[in-house]
Amino acid sequence: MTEMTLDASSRSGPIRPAEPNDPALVERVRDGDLEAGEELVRRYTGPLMRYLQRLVGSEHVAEELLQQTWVSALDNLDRFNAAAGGSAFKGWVFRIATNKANDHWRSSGRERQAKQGLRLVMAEHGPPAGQSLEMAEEQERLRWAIEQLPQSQREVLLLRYYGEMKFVEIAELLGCPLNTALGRMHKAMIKLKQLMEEHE
Amino acid sequence: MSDLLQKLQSNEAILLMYLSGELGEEDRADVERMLSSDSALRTQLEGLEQAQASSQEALRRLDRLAPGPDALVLSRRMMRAVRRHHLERQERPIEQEETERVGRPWWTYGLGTSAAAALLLLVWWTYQEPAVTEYPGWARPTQPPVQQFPRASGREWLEDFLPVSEPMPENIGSVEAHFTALASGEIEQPFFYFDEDLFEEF
Repeated sequence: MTEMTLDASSRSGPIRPAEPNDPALVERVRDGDLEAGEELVRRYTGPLMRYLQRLVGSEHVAEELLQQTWVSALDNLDRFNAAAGGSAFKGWVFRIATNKANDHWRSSGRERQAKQGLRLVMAEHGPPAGQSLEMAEEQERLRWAIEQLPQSQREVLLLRYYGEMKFVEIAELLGCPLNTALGRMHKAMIKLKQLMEEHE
Repeated sequence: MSDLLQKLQSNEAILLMYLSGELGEEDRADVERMLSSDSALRTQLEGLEQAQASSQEALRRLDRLAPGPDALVLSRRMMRAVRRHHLERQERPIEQEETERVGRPWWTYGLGTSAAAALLLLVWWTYQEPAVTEYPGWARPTQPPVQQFPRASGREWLEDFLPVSEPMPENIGSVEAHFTALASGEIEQPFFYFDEDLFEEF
């Protein structure tokens, strides 16, 4: 049986056992320890950035939303319940990031977003220096396939993959029943597989 | 079978929870018993495993092809942005107080209001029609008498405004007395009242 796992080395670096856990860092930030805040940012910036990047389809917008997420998270740290458990902080920042992405989606409007997305594809996603045309095409095909998923399905898939979250946590984060979250994940995986097969 | 397994409404939901390792030991054993006795369920599980591997591979490949900014560099950028935000937030109330104290002294509020009121009054006054004095219907002149005075004499005034060729001397005297009172400031507004007998002649 294959479990969906993260390749930690490709993200913000492996977490050493000696490192303090999230609730301890949150407590230190509340006491005014800026370094603890930096550690939290270092720990989750990589996964959050990739999550937002795949969710909104633009690196520029993703970075802007990431910045808003951290400012909002550290501003409202008093509201976070550190006693909720080890992975609660991760769920909390991913929820803030999801809300920021949804706000952005709503405020910019789907049509404008689509046009802007097209422009950004032209501007940002052209083949970088050193990347072959074949690789650029594959990248574009993968990106396109993910963007074909409805927003609700994409959120669950990306939270599972980049957030390494349990389905129970995802359901709680999105405020939907567990069966709904599982149904969205199932549809997202099947559709993505079909799209990949059709365009290979 | 636990409450959790009973709550899951479809085979896909149960199998996804099984694949993700989120079921307890007892539930896991239950699912494996079902799988061993149900070939359709096994096929369903294989399909799900393939779909999961495929979507996982798609995201992994995309991460390799478009890794985005370096996580460490990005973290530093985020921290700078957060620090900048906190500094701005700390400085904001002081800046606002200073703007209120230095930029707008208390007396400017009253001065501004007075200047605006004076300007409005001036505009209103400029567009006003000259005041027209009301007269009794029968004595109303065709033009305000104040404009006739002091050019016209009492006789001329009466000849202009009354339908008579020869005004009566006592009426001329009355009008001229009125003009004199107006000129001396004894009365402020011209008002002529003629004896009704005057009109009995017509």
